[in-house]
Amino acid sequence: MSDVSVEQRYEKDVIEILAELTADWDDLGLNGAISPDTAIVAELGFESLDVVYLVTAIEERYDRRDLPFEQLLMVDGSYVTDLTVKQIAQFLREQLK
Amino acid sequence: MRTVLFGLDGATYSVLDPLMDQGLMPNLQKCRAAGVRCLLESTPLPITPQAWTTLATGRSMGHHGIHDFVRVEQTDSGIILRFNTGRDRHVPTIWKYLSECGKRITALNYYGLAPAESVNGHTMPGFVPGRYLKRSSFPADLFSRLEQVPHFDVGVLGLDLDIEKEGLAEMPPERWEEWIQLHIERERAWFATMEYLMEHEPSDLTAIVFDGVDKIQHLAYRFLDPKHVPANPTPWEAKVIDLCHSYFKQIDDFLGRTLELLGEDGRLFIASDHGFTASDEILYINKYLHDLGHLRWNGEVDVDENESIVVERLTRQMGLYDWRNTRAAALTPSCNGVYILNVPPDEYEAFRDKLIDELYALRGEDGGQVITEVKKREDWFAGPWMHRAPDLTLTLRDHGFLSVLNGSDAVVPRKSPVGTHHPLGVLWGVGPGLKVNATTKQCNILDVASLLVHSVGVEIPAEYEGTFPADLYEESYLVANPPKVSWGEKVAPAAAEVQVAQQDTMDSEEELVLTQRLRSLGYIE
Repeated sequence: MSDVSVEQRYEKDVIEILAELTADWDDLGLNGAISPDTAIVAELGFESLDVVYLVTAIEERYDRRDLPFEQLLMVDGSYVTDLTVKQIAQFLREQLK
Repeated sequence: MRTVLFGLDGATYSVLDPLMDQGLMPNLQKCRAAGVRCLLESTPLPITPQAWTTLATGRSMGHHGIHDFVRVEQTDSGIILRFNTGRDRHVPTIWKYLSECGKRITALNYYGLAPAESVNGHTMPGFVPGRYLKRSSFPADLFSRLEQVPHFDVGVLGLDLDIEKEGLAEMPPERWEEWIQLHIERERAWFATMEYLMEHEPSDLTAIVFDGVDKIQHLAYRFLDPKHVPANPTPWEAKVIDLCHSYFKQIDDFLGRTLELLGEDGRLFIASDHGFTASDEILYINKYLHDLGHLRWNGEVDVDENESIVVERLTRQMGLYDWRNTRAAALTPSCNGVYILNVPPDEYEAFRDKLIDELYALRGEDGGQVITEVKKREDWFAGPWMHRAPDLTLTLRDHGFLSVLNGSDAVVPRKSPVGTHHPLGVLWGVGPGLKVNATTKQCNILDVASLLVHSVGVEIPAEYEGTFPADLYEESYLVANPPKVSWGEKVAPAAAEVQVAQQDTMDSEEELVLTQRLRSLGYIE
């Protein structure tokens, strides 16, 4: 499978996970569908606990509990302020290859 | 026997007894006359995640793995905080164990029930935001049945971190009424859920936690404990006192209705995960560690002026420190812990001993010792998961929580006392076999799991670390219904009841085998 299609597969996975995770939200602020460029804080309204649920959902999806999410969530010892679907997908591609 | 565990998060006799004496909790008063009660010692760190998990598993922190709401992990990318969930608990709960034994259970608003686990009955977790409550509950179709229940409102039932944090800092007077009222509504929603399930889908063990007791006491302890209640309250104070009383009166109504639903053939236990008391000062431990040269801030850090113990967003906390130049720091306020960082293994013991001496040396404005106990990880949290506990856990003279913020001084008196956790909570029992109008010796929260398991007629797993609290029962009842320990196929009497149960249930050969097993498990000398 080409790099592009692998990337797209993970993006599709992340979009599915996010769609399922936010299915019960009354206050989802997004206009339109979740896309690779969707930012989970700015556009979906994620808060710190939501990230916990996202991590859990990803771990369950791939049946992995050892993914180093700190590499995704932290830069230079501080937490990132936002993440896009594409960034999460890239992290998964690197970790699950 | 059909059993209910009525969990009151943070309940303490110093508040409940005066409320009963004022006639505000008549059903609890009836429980005092008709049942038995004692002090219940909490876990070494008396906070919700550790204590309720211990109650629900019969295991200590080192074995179940839950120390705090979050855990600290040192990774190649730096220090990271991870929220604990049910997946980080490494021993089975009584909900799961009883289900496997064929009993039906209902557990509502307990910590650690998310993600949902398959049980024979229902679970709906506490400490979960409303937007995740449905997906975190079991069975999957539970919500469709509950949506018809009056007061059932996911928006009210769920955790709102912003609202929770408000109660842990100085709150503007105009916010108090709405904040307390919100907790009154939340409890109503949780009780309505329990009431519906008890009526329509009853379980052998129904368990619920009312966590507003803790929240309201954090905020308004000085209006509940007669030692602190103002003799001549202002109109605003009188209004707050009245609201707090309304909260507890409602809890008492729930208790009365629960007893009605349970009937005379059922048994009810009331337990808290810890007690409560008043804290009158704040220890800015990181300010002290900084002054000692063990911690370096990451640039200029604001001095707290709001009697807060935690930053607005926990994730911001990690940016406060210069990690490379920090050897000791408190990272979360609820664990009262100090983590030792960047100290080579061969220097660790000496560094830790010196730090312990320095912690004990801290004095308040009055010259008194502020830190009364420093607990080493391996002494208090031994087990396969003890590495999740901080290197040192501190007990303060007023039982307060550490602030992880920067302060103007290490120890600062509070403008008004606030509520904080005390290691001694409450345990009551009412129902068949339990003593009447009695107060017995103190129990430990580790003992409660065996109490519940026995009450519904199931053997007590051998790995439970507590002792069956036989003192709560009439001896004649236990002779007829002895608690038994189970390890796989063998079933034997629980430690506290060895002598009683041996009279009728075993021949001498079984007794010998059993005694050897109990000794090997450390139950008897």
